[in-house]
Amino acid sequence: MAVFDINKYRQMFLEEAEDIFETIDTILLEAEESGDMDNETVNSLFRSVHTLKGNSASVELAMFAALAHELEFFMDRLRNGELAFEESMAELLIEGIDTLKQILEMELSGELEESFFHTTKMSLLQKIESFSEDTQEVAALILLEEEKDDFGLLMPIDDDKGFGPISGEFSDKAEEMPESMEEYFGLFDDEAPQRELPPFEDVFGLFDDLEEITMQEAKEEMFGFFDETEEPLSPVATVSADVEESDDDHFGFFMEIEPQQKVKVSLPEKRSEPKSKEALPEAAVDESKVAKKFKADTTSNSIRVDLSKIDGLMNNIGELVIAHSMLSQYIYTMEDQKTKSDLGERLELIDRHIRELQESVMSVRMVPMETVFSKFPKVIRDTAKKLDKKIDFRSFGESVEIDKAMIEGLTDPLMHIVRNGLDHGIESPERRRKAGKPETGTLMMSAEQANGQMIIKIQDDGGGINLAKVTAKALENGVIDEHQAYSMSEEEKAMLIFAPGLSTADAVTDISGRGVGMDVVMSNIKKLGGIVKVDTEEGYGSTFTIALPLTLAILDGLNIRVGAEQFILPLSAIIESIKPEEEMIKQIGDTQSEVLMLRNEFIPVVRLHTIFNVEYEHQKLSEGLLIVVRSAAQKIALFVDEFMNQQQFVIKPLDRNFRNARGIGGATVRGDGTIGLIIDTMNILDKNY
Amino acid sequence: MSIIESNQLLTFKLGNETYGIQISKVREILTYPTVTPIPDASRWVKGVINLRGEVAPVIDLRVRFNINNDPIYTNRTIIIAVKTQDARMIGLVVDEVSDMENAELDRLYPAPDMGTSIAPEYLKGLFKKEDKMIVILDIDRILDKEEMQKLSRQSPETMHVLSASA
Repeated sequence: MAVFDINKYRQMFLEEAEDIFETIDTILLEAEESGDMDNETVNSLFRSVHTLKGNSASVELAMFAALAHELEFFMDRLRNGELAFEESMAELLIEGIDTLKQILEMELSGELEESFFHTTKMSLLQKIESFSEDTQEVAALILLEEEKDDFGLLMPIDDDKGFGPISGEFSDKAEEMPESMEEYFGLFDDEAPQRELPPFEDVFGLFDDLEEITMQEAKEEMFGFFDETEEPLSPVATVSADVEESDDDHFGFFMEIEPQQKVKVSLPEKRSEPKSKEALPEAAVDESKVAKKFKADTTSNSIRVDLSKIDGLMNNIGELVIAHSMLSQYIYTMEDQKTKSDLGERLELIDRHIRELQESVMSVRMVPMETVFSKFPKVIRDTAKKLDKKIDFRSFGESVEIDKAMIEGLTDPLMHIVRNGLDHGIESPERRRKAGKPETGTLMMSAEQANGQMIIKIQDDGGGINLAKVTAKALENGVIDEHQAYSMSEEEKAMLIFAPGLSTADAVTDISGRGVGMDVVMSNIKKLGGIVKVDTEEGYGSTFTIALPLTLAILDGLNIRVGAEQFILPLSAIIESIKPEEEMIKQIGDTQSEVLMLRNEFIPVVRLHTIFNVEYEHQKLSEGLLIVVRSAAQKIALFVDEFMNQQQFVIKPLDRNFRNARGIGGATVRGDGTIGLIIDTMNILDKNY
Repeated sequence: MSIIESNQLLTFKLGNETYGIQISKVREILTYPTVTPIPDASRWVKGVINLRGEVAPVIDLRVRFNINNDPIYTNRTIIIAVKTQDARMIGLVVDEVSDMENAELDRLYPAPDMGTSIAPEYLKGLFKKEDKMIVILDIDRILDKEEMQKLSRQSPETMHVLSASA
C-alpha cells in the first residue's frame, strides 16, 4: 500500500475536532449554567467524545486518544447511571475538554512530552475519582498510571546523559529513527520508545522553522564537495542538510556552542560514507515531506467557512428570487408599454445575475464524494491490522458531487458502518477459509445519483448479521417485546441493529461494540432527510443502502394545479406526462383502484385530490392530466388538473416549525410571498407517514 | 432554568375572555395573510405562512380549544407570531389584540379546574387586575412539539382527544 500522508488526514481530523469541541463546549456550558444534564445531553456528549477518540486514533494521535478515552469512560458511567450528574461535574468536564484541546495542540506540534502528558492525565483522573462511588476501580487505574509516570520522570535524566553518546554515533541514531517513530505513534503505551522520542520530536519541531535559505546555506557550508549537483538541488541533499542543520540545533541546545562546531566538522565526513548517506535520507525524506506538506496546508488558499453562512447566503438569494418575481408580476400590470418593456429588459438582466449568483453559491456547497471516500482507506487499513483481518477496500463514484452540508453529517455514519462491518461483518482469515471464501474480505463503497437522490452503498462479503442474536439482544434490552419479535419480518429484525444501545459484540473494543454507533447512523441519516436500509444474508455479508437528497437547498420544480390548490412537483421525479384516453384507464377489482395502461406497463393512478383533501374539478381522469413519477417501489401516475410553470425553488423545511405532512417533502416561498408545498413522490403512498 | 421571565404581558381576546402571553415570546403581530393549507392537518391548523423567511404554521386557538368552532377569517383577522422556547416560529390566530399589562408572574392565582375554556394544564395561572381577569397561557405547553405533532393530524381519534381535553 502506498505511503499515507498522515498530515492530510490530521488536517481533516483537526477541522472536525474543532466543530466537535464547539458542540461539546456549548453543551457543557449550558449544563454548567442550568446545573442539570438530561440523558439525551449526556448521550450526545458521550458520542462526541467517542467520535473524537475514534478519529484521533485513526490519525495516530495516540495520547490525545488516550485522554479522550478516559473522558469517554467517565461519561459512559454517567450515561449508564452509574454516576449521578452533579453540578460540579460540568466544571470538571469543561476542564477535561480544555485539557484535551491543549494536548491536541501539543501533540500536533510535536511538543508534547510524555511526562507532561502523564501528570496532566493523572490530575484529571484524580478529579474524576472524587466523583466516583466505586473508588477502587479508579484508584487502581491511577496506581497503574503512576507506574508509567515513573518512567516519565526518569526520562529527562536518562536523556541528559544519553545525548552525549548519541552525538558521537550520529549515523546509527539516524537509522534508529524510523523505527522509534513508528513505535511512538502506534503504541504510545509502551515505555520502550520513550528514550528515542525527544530527539525525533526536536528534529521534527525545529525542522518546521527552517527556511529555504538556511537550508541552502547549510548545503553550501557543508557540502562544498557536492558542487557537481549544483542547480537543481537534489532532494536527498537538501533533506539531509535539513536534518543536519536541525541536529545541529539539537545538539546546541544541550551543549552550547562548542560541540556545534565539532558536529559541523564531523558531518561532511559521515556524508561521504555511502551507507549513512542512504540511511539518513530514507528516514528523513518521508518525515520532512510530511512536515512541509502540513505546514503548507495550513497556509493553503482556501478558507473554512461555517455552512450556516452559506445557508444564510442561500436564503438571501432565495429572498432575492422572490423579490424579483414580485417585480416581474408587477410589470404585467403596468400600462405604459415603453416603461414596461424597458423595465422588463433590465429585469431579465437581473434575473441572469441572480441565477449566476445562485449557481456559484451552489457550487461552493458541492464537493465530490472523494472527500468522503478518501477518509476510509487509512481507517480500514488500521482497523484491519488491529483485527488481524485482510480487507480489500474498493470505492466507486468518487466524482459524484454532494452537498457539503451533507458531508459533515454523512462521514460519521459511514465510518460507523464501515467499522462495524470490519469488526463484526468480515470474518477472520481462518474462518473465511473454512467457509470456503477467499481469505481477503471485500468492502465496497459506492455512490451514485439516481432518481434525484444520492445512493450510497456499503457492501461487505462477511458473515452477515446474526438475526437471531440481534433479536435476542433486543428482547433482553426491552427494545421489543416477545410478541413483536415473533411477528417481525427478517428485514425488520435486521433494522433492529439501529436501535439505541444494541450491540451484539461480546467484547467492547475500541473499534466498535459499546452499542453507540448504529443508532447514531440512523439519526444522522434521518437528520439529512435520508433513509438507511440494511440487507443481510447470514454467511454472505451485508449491504447498507443510504438514500439521501442531492442537495438540501434548491430544487427544480413544476407547478401543478390540483383543484383550487397549487403544489410543486420536483422535476427530477417526473418521467412523463400524458393526457389519458379513456381506454388507457383500467380498473382492477373494485372501482377504487385504477391503473394506467401505458405501452407495456400498468401504472397505479394516485388521485392527488384525495390525498391532499382538495375538492375535485373533474372526476374523470381523461379530463385532467396524468404525470408518471417515480415513487418508492414503483412508478405511479399522479392525477392533476393542470400544469403551470417550471421554476427553481428554495427548499425550506416544513418540520422546522411544525411537522412533516403526508406526501409533502418540504415547502418554499413563492413569488407572491405565500408558501408553496413540495410534493414528495417517494412517500406519497406511505399511509403511516 | 434561571431565565428571568419577562413580566410584560400581551393581552388578547379569544371569544369573551381575555388571555395573556409574555411579551418576550411575541415576535410580530400581523394581519391574516394568504395561508397555504396543510393537507392532513386538523381543523385548528389553518396552514403555513412565510414568517421572516421561515415556514411557520398558523394555529387557531379558538378552534383548538373549542371557543369558536367556526370563525370567519378576514383581512382584519390578527395573527400573533410567537417563538417558543425551542425556537419554533408559530402564528396564533386571535380575535383581537387588547393591551399590554405588567404582571408579577410569580404571584398568579392558580387556574381553577373548572370554569375556563382551556384546560388548566395549558395555563400558567390567572392574573387579576382591578376587576379584570387575565388568563395567562403557558404557550410552550400549548405548542409543545410532540403534542402538536400528535394532535395536529386529521383523524377521528385526535378530534376525540381534542374535545375531551377542552
